[in-house]
Amino acid sequence: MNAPTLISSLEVEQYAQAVREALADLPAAEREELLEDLPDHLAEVAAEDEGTLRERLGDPQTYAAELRAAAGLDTHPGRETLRAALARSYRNGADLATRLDTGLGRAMGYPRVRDLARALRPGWWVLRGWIVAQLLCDADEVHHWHGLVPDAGTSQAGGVVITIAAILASLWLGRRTEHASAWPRGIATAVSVALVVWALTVLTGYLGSAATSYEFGPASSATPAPAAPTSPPAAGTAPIAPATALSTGRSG
Amino acid sequence: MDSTQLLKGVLDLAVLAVVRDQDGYGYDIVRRLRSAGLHEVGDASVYGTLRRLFQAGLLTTYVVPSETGPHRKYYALNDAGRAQLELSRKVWAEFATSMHTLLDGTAAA
Repeated sequence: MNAPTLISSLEVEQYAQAVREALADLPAAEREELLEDLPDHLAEVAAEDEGTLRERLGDPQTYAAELRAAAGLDTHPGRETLRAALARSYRNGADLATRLDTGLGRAMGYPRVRDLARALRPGWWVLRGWIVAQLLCDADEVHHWHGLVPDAGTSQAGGVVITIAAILASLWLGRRTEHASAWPRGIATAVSVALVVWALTVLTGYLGSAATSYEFGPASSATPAPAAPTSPPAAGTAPIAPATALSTGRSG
Repeated sequence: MDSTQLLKGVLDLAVLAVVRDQDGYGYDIVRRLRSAGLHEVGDASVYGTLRRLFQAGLLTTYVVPSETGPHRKYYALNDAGRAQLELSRKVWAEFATSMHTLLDGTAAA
């Protein structure tokens, strides 16, 4: 006698879940009130042993529609449908995000991806400081590679100082914004996104020019400084390259 | 004619009448409606109606603990429910009389 009980309780659970999903657009409190008696009802019907729940009660969606209509919660069908669709897609998105968060996180040895991201944050702060240093030294506005430690003007030492200062400032700012309220954090995020976009733009521009001139690596040491002051050093050898580097750098 | 269509209009009245006789929990009320001859009544319709009548303040609820099965929520008629039932009963009686007269008259003609 154990097996049928087990099967029917599973059936009850699945049926109840399907009804719940069909009512997902209702406000949570209203929905829970409406579903309060459902498990008991289904258990009782299942216990009568006169066929499956679907045979006795119809499919769960029909049950839900009947329940909703009888409870008088079906007054704006058009609006309900739109709200239902929005609510469902939002919930599906949130569910997927949560599943990815835990699933991928576990694959990488963390409870959630979020925890990994938190652990990686100081690393990002260092990278951010470095990007800012690159940006500060990009004075000629021709986006190109300045070397791992950029020159400030012509001074390598100045570049080192700027890079270290920017990294320290970024770390300090990171520690501060970690516990800041919502809107300063929002600004910090916006600035970070802008920095990343800028860095990617320069990087694609640099890769483009490198591909054209068949040169790669820290250009300042690999190539002698070109005669024309506006030419990117990375593109020194090919005559067409400066224009290409310029256009790819700016279009990106 | 489909009796489920007729039922929609009078389910409130039928549920109130069943609960007036005796307090009941959801499925118990479904069974009593069926044994009173309303075989077409849908389970979900009764549960939804109970919920709506409760929200409208015509029914009160209380939970009865059970030692074997689940704790059951019982519905009982309150004064507002009784007044509503009395009113609906008069409306129904007039309506039914009119329909009888109409139908009998048509049959005789």
